[in-house]
Amino acid sequence: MTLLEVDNVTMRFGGVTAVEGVSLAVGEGALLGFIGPNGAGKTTLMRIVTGVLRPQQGRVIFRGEDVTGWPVDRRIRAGLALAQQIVRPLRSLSLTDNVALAVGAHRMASPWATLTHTDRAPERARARELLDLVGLGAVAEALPGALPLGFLKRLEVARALALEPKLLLLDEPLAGLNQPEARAMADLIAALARNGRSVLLIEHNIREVARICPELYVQDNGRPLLRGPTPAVMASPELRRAYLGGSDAGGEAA
Amino acid sequence: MAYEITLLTTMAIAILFALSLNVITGFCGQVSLGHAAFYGVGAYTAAMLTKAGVPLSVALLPAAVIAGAAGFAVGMASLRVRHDFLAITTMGVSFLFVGIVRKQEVLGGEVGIAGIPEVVFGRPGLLALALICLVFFVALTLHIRRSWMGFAFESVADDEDTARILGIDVPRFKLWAFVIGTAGAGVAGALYAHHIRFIGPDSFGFVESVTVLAMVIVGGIGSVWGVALAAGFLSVMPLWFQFVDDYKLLLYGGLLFATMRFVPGGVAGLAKRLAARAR
Repeated sequence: MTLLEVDNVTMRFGGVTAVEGVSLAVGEGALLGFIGPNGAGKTTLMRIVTGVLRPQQGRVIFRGEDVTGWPVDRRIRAGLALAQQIVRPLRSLSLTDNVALAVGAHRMASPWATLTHTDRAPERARARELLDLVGLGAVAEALPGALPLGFLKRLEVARALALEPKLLLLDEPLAGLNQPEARAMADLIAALARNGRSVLLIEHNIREVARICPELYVQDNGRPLLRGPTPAVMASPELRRAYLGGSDAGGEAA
Repeated sequence: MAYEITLLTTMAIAILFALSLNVITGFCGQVSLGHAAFYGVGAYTAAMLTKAGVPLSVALLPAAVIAGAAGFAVGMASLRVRHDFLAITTMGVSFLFVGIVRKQEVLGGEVGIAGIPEVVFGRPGLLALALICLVFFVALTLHIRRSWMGFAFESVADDEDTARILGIDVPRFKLWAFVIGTAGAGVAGALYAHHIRFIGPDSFGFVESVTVLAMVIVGGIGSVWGVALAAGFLSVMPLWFQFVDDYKLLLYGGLLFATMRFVPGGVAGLAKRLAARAR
């Protein structure tokens, strides 16, 4: 069943077209790798899906509903979650509270209910589990300001997971991590997908994407380029051309 | 004794007024430069009612409701604007309030409303009423901070965009903070009107809005005890020292600047820092 459907979406910023006529479907239980060179419009498309940006043209359909006009928070409560490329921790809250807030997101639909409820213990306990899962258990009570980027990237992922999303959108979760950390994070993402979580993964670390994703979608210059099983996409000359501008040299693009 | 009662009543009302702004600015991070307008709405509502024979203890409720409703209306119109635009909008509200009240004969126009009746049991009665309201509001704000609403406010104050990504309906929570804060200001205004027993449009202008903001910032944005301390102290300064009254704007402006520049956490932040150093 299709979980997310992006239908013929176009987004322009002034004279620059960031995304043009993109259609993309993500099925339930999918782990879809989303790659493309810098400036391909990957993050823009992610932001359109979450509702941070409203496209000039096209629709976004999530779980059978047209959510194009919905605000971000409503889409999140409907089952989307985003781990952002540029980390945005709440700096006045500890890591545990950052995640606990997301665990309790379902409470936020009714302000009145939030006023009458004070207990944070169950959400904080769940938050600790998630921080352990992404390897941040040791610094759970620290404030984000004191931590290196690699930690904050993992906080983004923990916070997105805390929302118990139907579809997890990950925007370069491996960036800023060293090779063993990146591998561990990729394994974690693969495990999430195996457990039935649907994931759309933007990533520049093509080695890890190719290792864990059975299927790839490639975008270039704001347009869809390729989609298919990972081995076929990786072997295609179009992919090399997109990354390397016509040269046939192989290897990992950054 | 009468002097002490006056002093304590002045402090209690100022603390209530400052704590009501603290919900909006401290908890939810929304800077309002027009808070005195809602203080005024409460004052006028209560004064009209008590002059018509309603006891103040009863008139407090409509004062809160009407000030909160005014807050709701302003909030609906302005809280969807992002970030710092609210400061500008509320500044407009502050001038709008004075401008409108001046032209209303029913509200006493330029002259204002005089002869506001004394409450039952006189000055001690008013002090008791003010203290009851204050205790209630302190309890409410402490509860809010512990609740999930306070948690949501904190995230909105920290980073609106991130709060949205975490599923929080940011404009709706801002509106709640605004309504709770303006309703509190309405109660403070009602008490003020019966403390001074004369109100005019200029008692609720921009200067008063800046004064109360100075109290919140000097006390430490978001800290209930810090704001209470600063408001209590700053409200009686003009009664103790004539020159403070003469140079009120200059002094409060200077304090506001000095706090932002040197101790952004205010009194509460300073106390926390000193405690950390002592350990």
